[in-house]
Amino acid sequence: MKELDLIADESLSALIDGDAVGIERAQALSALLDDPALQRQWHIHHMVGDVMRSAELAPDPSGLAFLERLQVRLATEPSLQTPGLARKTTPPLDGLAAVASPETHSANAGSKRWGVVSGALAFGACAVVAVVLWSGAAGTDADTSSKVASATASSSAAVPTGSLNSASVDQPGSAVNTAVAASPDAQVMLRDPELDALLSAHRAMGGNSALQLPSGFLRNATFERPNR
Amino acid sequence: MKALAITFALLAGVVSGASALGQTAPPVAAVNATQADIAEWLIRVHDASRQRAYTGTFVVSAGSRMASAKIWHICDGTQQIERVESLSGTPRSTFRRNDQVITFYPASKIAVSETRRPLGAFPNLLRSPDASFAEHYVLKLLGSERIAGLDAEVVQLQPKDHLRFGYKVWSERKTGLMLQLQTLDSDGRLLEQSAFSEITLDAPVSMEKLSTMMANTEGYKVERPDLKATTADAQGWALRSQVPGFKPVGCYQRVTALAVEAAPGKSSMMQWMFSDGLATVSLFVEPFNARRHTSELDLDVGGATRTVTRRVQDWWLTAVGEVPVATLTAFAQALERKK
Repeated sequence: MKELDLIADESLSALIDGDAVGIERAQALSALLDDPALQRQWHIHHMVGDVMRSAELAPDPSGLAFLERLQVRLATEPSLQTPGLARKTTPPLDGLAAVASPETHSANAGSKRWGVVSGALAFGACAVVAVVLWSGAAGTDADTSSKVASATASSSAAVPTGSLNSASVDQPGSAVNTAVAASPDAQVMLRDPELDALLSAHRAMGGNSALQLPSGFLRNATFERPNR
Repeated sequence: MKALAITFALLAGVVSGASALGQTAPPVAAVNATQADIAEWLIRVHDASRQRAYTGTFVVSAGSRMASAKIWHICDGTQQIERVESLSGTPRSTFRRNDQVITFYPASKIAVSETRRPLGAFPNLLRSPDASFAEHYVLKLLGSERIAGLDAEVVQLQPKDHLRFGYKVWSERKTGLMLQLQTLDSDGRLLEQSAFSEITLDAPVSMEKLSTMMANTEGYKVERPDLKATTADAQGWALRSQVPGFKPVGCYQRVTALAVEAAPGKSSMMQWMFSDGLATVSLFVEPFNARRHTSELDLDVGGATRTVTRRVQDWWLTAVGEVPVATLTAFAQALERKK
């Protein structure tokens, strides 16, 4: 078993360094996906790197637990079909691992597994950053946590497209953002606070016609995130 | 057609007159209403919401989400005072006396005071001879129904094109006050519903009491957002082509704290608003910032509200409105920098 572990470790290192190619890469990814111990190693590797660069990036263990719960919850979210809404351009959200973009058709576009794995990798990589932001802001006022929430949402929202809807890598990207903004079942609706402010301004100043005076006021409340 | 319009207007006049006497008037029949009819009807609904005194609970719902508020409204002929107390979401209390609005947030002890013209030039536009408002809707009377304990006439406003949503309006028979509004998409699916779950017309609301509550800012930090009325022209913007049916109803320049964190110093945002008589669109334009403005998106943010973000030269546009995405895209394509 030790030999197997050693091989797994080397493959993981190669994967992290970007040296794994072809079948070796596929196998390493497959192993990573199946083995929680390897996933932990992956997290640790990136954590160490980040902490070496800046002590501030040391994560809070409770944050990791939160991410696990979030991941479970996201896995149970229904996938949303929103015909007619197309996402134009979406560069990778934080420059880390590439999430399969619906617009580009790469050589492994047909591979469902790749979609799932890349999503998981992106999640893992983003997790460290997100955890720091989230735990750092926990318990502070609503504004900060909403910014945090949107940072977490933007990184974790990238995940459902890849990891959950493995049926199609080409799923309309709109599901990413509508999953964040309009999912009626999400208990925590995470949204961009800047967009929220614009929506408020629209409803206050211009979102009212003769018919809609009281509605304008209430729309903000209807789609607001719940109090923390 | 003209005869029908005149008849309709007369009938509407009779209804309003009769209602002023407190008597029930026969329902207004409008089989194929003209533009004048629609404008007249809109004015009636609009006036009722301003001039009648009422208290009630108002509920907005979309999908499985819902929010409600208690509303007190009174008008003594010259002044209107309104108080809206949110029952959902962040606790807040909004008071409005004519154009002055102050919103109290008890949780953070902040009061935001601003001057708003919630309808902008809208009422005047409706009454102007060039009332091409609502020429993109067909008004149909559907019948009568009982809502929140009152008899209401049900009217359907069907859009003639795909640039707007349709509406079904329940307006109280005597006064014209809107009791329920449904926003429907082109397939007739319900996007959003707003309605009074209970309402008392001509309720004895004390104007003095509301005024006192409104003026009492003790314990609150009063903030006044930096907002200036301006024109799109003065801001250097124009539409190279009109989006059918939508007329500009106002323009504001606001200095926002939003942009402060991204760019040192102040950043100003223009809000240019349009209306077709029933729906409104706001175009928010700010300087482009590569760090914050990363994705051009078409979003459904809930209910009937859609938003579209686009880069326009060195600027960033966020278009928001209770209209289909196609309309917002049309605005985005029509927006051009002048100088």
